[in-house]
Amino acid sequence: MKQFLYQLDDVRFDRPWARPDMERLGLWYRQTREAFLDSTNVRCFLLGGFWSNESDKSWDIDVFVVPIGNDEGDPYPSMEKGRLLRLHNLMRDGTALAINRYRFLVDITATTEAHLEEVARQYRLFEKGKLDRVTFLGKMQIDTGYGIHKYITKNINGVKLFERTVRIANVIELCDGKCFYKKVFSELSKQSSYIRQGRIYYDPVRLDDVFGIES
Amino acid sequence: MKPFLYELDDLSFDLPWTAPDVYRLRLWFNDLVRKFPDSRNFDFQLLGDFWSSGQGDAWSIVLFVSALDLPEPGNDLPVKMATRIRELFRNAVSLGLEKHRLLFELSFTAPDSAKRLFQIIQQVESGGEVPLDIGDAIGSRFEAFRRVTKTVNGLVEFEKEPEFNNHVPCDQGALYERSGFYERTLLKKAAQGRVYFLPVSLNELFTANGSSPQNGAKS
Repeated sequence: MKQFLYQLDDVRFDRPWARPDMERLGLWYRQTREAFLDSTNVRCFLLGGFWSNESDKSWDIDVFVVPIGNDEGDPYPSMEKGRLLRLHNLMRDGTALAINRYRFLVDITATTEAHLEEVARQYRLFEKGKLDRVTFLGKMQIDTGYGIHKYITKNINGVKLFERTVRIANVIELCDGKCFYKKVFSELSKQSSYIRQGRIYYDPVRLDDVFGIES
Repeated sequence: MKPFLYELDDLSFDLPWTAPDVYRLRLWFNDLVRKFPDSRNFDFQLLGDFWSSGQGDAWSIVLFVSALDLPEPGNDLPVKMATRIRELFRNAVSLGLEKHRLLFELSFTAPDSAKRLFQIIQQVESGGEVPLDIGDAIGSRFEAFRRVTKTVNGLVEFEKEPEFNNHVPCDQGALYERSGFYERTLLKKAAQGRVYFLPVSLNELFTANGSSPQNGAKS
């Protein structure tokens, strides 16, 4: 039997995950929503490879959370600390719930709705051939939002398969070592290659709408 | 990336569509109802390959659309009503292609046409004969577009001006009555073993107890 270890900073998971599907995403989202969303006051959006015409090739789900009332710019440093802590808990506990109970990996990022719209717009232009690759990558080399993990490591049978330190533009320190790390979008060359090979990323969509949940 | 162009009469779309799933169908339907309030006066019956055992092979979504506040489809449909239907279809198809990357094939039919077609499918599944005149059997069926063109890399992949029996004039353009080509294709597949499900109203599918789709994105 394979010994599996996935580590996000100092939080360890020793059960491997499986490819995601919409049914388990729906179960996870309903539970997460009930437990955290009301108190955190955020909207959750689905995007990335799992929300594309190649969802079956994806190993994780990209979820972006947008605090309501923070639609532009970089509002997080100025957010009230209690709210930032609740957002941090949502991102930490939501990730743990997905792996431990529903056995899929979710990558949660905090961002703004304006950023999501801009990403979708640039993807469309690139797909239509109205932006060349260099221009696309230049335009998209922008900060993607905040994550709560700086180090990611994956081991199987004691062999390190994957290790990454997130490129960081800014840090918001909360307390007890909790931080928000402003990530820099670094995987765009991979995404642009996928698009050129025929992958179609759908527009970001609210998870409430995907699962027919009345807001 | 391939330069892509899909044209329906004077409408053109430059983003390709994708294989449908029930989750995006729901997003499209909710958007349609929100953005085009007249759509609430119509019933959308889901049928065809996407609502069959061959769902994975489907590249479009077929809907039979009817309205209780309009007369049965036919050549005597008033221009004002035909224009209303045509506008709804153009908006619905544009929304599907531009925002949700879904291709819809919409027909205006009598409210019971979808179920009548399903009954014939069941007869065929049991080894029965296909009626000689499908139009008589399920009632008239009208579409909004006369010409279809698909171009990839500047090459015409597909160009068609489907035959139509009759048409109803609109303020601009017309609604076109189709012959039974689509129905006969469906019945042929049913005879070969494809199982078509009982047509279902989108309203019923997506609003009953807030239920989640039972099928959808590939997993």
